[in-house]
Amino acid sequence: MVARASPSLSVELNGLKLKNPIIAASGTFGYGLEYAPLGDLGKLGGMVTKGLSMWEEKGNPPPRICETPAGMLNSIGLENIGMENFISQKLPQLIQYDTAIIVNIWGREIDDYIKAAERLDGVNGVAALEVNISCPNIKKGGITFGTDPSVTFELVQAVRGKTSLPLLVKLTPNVTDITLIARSAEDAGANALSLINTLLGMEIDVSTRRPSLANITGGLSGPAIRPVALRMVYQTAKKVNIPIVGVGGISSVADVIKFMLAGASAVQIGTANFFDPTICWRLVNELEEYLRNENISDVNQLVGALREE
Amino acid sequence: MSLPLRKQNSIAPGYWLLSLKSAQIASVATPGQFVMLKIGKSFDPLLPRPMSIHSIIKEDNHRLGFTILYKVVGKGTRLLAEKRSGESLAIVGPLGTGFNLNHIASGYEPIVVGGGIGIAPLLFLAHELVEKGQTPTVFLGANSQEELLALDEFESLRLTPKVSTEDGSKGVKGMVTDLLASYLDDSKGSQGEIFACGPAPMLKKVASLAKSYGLKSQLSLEQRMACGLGACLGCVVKIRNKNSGHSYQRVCTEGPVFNGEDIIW
Repeated sequence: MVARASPSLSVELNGLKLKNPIIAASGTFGYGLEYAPLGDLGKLGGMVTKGLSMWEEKGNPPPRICETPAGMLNSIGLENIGMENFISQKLPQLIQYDTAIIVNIWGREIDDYIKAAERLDGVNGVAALEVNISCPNIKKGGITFGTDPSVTFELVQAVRGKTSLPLLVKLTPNVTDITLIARSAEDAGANALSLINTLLGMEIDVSTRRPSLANITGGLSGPAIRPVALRMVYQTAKKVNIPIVGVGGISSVADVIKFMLAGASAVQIGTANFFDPTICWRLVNELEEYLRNENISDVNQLVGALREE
Repeated sequence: MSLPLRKQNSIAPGYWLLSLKSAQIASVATPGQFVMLKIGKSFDPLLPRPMSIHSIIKEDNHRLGFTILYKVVGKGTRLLAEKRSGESLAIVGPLGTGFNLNHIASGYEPIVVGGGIGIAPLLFLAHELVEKGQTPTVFLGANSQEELLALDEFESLRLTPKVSTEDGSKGVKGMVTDLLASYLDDSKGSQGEIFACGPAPMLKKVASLAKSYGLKSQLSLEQRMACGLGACLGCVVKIRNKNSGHSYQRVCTEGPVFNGEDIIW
């Protein structure tokens, strides 16, 4: 019997080419270099940086994290080293790895996003931008950009006008109908959508009667949110024509396949990096093994291949 | 990496000593460093636990493995205590910036202060100090004699720890910081440095004593962690900046050991 050819793992997200669909998610992989001692970053489909602002952000006071059943809450407060420090200190080291470096950007005003997009446009080594319109931790008049379809449209359109890089827009699940926000981002020129960000949550320490986080509320992530994320990817895939990157609690190759069947063209691995620090590399291998065993020649055949009858 | 558990035994009610085999970790670990330890494959508990290295296991001068001394405080440590020899644990390490011993020279007095389970990283430190030809002055405190851990281990290094218990069942009745305060009062002008680990209120008191007696202090802090690798930014403490203001630094990377004078409590 002739040995089967290696299955094709490469995916294309409307202008962003990835060698495989496994991407490390923003906020869980630092600036990439933190995980470089554990594996070859060049084997990953891509990595998304910690969310960057044009300024250096100190973040929230501790405690910032709290474990919950099959999940965790965080309220880091968007701490980051600032765009210029990232470009001068981290990016030159990162670009030696043959992986898609996706820079996550955020701001407090639309103008902050515009400045970040302008600054990164044409910077060597940046493969794409991921626009964080969904962080629940910083209050902007009490409302997050990504909870309002028209604000989402305005923001994404403004960023779109300032960069030729592929734009991923990362959506918040803390809305009534995520597909409305997804449509707005698509209409405004997003290349692809990443969903979901964390679910707003809270925990209390009964012994002290205090909130477990200094910020009181925080974002829930981990396996606990996976069914919510899967449902949102499924619903959104039916409503948009741009690729979806599934994220939310993925911690096994079966999870990767579920998100692809629901309509995701690629996935991001987040909280699992914390409890299983070499998982991204393992998933690349296990996905290839799965395709080989199932006699599937191209990973794209899984996208949206859910059987519904 | 997955490490085989060599043995695990309870050394006092609720306190366990775990031995793990890893020449790789043991050969490069320094006092004050820690490992991230994932207890089983379950999602509850989800996150690995940071555990400081208590001692290095040596045979014929080869570093073969290390021990972890811990107290059962919650679900994770309760499950960890059920692990037996032959089982394996997923471990990443050694991690973090431990005690800085580079500047230690003769004519210098290291003062080691441990409270409760905070003595965990201090045995490794005491070993290293003794190997460098130092004779640290050791203060150990606990709730009761029963919880005064590893005393004989310090004694086998020919050290004579000064001991306090809150219930007075061993040594001086009271807090270990009271012992330290009276010692510092009696030995004014000593050229030394304090190395401490214990509960936050104790460390805060140690930092203020060190300051009032003009001594430097290195304090090993504890904080909830998710990754232990410097990526999640979950484990920060507030640190005074050189010029003005403050920044948050990671207990897992810049720490767990910080200079006492830099910490904003």
